Amino acid sequence: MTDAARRYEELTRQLLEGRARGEFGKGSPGEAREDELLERMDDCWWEMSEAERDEADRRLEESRRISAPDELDAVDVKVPSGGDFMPRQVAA
Amino acid sequence: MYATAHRVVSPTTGAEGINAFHYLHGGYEWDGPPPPESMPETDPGTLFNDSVAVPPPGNRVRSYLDVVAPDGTPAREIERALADVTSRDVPGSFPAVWTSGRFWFRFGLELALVPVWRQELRLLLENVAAVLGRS
Repeated sequence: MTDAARRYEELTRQLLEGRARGEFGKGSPGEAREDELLERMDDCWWEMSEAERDEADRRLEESRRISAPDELDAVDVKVPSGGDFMPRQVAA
Repeated sequence: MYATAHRVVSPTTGAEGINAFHYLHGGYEWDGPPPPESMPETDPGTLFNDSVAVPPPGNRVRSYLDVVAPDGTPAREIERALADVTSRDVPGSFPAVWTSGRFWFRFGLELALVPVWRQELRLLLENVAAVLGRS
């Protein structure tokens, strides 16, 4: 994977997370940040090979067919050294 | 052994990071798939080492990777097995559970991370490998 493809993946992640958190959108405080991410993604896109672009598209399409909960019902817990229980539990 | 990495976010500061934990089962070995009694909900073993970016408790878990393998398994073997199984078996939903040889994997994440699930899995695995490497 080239640097451009890696950067594209990371920028995609930031964009999707920002949108999921409702931080982006026209007129929002995050609008400029969203525009910047899109611009940088565009730069990376044109640096990527055709095969990398196809792969990025394929993975995005693949993810649309996968379901997951909106949030995991889990919080972490402190485990002392030698402790014998898992470091997360179902949220109260 | 049981190794796990969590992406967590603090509900108070908003700090986000990945914490990883390495438990030992104490020389308990197996040849085929991990036996039911080695599953983390039944017996995670005892905590041997950890790597904490956002101190527990009370952080919300956004994603996690659980690995069960015989004690002393090199990280590269785990990485190879997980890469192999995820290239063959793309899940229809999360959490996903995979068994490969002597290893068991469980990967869960929230909906917002699904479009980048492969990247997230890689990050969590890197953190698991790092905590094993330090042990």
